[in-house]
Amino acid sequence: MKRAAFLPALLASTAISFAAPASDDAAVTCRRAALELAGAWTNEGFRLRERPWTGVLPAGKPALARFTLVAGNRYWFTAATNAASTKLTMSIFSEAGEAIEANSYLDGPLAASGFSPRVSGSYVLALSEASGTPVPFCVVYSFK
Amino acid sequence: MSRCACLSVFWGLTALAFSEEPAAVPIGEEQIRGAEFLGQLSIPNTAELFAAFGKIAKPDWTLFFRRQSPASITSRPLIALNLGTLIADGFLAAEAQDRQQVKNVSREIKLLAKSIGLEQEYMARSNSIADFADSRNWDALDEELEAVQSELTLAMGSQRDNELATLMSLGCWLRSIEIASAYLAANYTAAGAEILRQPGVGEFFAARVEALPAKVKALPAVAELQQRLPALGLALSRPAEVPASSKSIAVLHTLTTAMVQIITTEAK
Repeated sequence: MKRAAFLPALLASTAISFAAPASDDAAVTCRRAALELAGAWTNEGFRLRERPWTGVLPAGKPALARFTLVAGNRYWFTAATNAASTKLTMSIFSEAGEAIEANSYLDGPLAASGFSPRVSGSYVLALSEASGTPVPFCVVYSFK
Repeated sequence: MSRCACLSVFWGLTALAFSEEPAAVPIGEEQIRGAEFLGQLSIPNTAELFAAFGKIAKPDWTLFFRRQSPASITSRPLIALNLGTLIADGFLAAEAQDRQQVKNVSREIKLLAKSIGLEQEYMARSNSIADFADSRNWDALDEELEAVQSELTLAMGSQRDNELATLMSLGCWLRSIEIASAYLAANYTAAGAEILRQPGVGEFFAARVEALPAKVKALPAVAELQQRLPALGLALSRPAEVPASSKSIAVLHTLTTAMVQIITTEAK
């Protein structure tokens, strides 16, 4: 299945999926990888939120989380997994469920999406992976 | 390798991985409702809110400093609420780039942290906060303040005081909205009003307060806040792309000022 089509297919086929907690070691490894990539945005003046979102991506389902974002700011969400052979995919949706156009960075176990919300409010971030097995992940978010 | 060179290498190596992704298909109401609310991370922090105002104007944040002396409080829930408001004051002082005010607020946070047995948890952070203020490293100071909140939250959890963490978080959020609405009430623009919209956050706190132990909810200050939270949630949940009117902002400011006053005056 083509990667761009992978997440929409998952989103269409699945209901609600919370991410299970990741082990401490896995969370640390994933966080380190996410922070390494997010360092690129930090060097461009983005400030990093202190807490990450960590967990285990359920097999064949995206993990969905809600963020309240502020119009006028620019955001980068950066995700990593320690499962090197998988491919992460990330999408962002408005509170009406519409997909948001974002700049994306996709590189196997790393994924990031950056955008500037036009309106302040609630946004849903969907993260999924292509291998079909549960993998730990970490998402960090930066704003400017 | 210099920072510029590092960045160039990064962008050079990864240029191919960047793309404007085709938009995904919309998601349904059930998925939106089911998306996990990640507590503090799902709520914009105070710096994030202030940063947006800094894009459309040059607010004089010093006008919103509080000049109160540390209150003598013995009730742990009230201490937690006040700690939260002080953390928001820390973000305010950082946004105003006022070294002395950062240190003043940090001292007050330390006093309150001490009164609930969390002084040690704050000590190391307190030194970093002073160092970052002295070196005018405001972004690092923001990150340190958020780390303070996380660390105190963890420490409260390990003391089985999770209700204190909820109240600290609520205090911080209320004071942030109070400051932002005070600025907007005095300097109304439609663009500014568009920033102050946080659907779902009031409901999140209302649910968390509802889940507090009965003896905490029975405290007059907590009961008053609980009563007013639905109105605040509603005021911050207007339809998207409809900026709040100047009158609505004035109402929001009155509401949040009263809620912060409940926290601070009950304490004295």
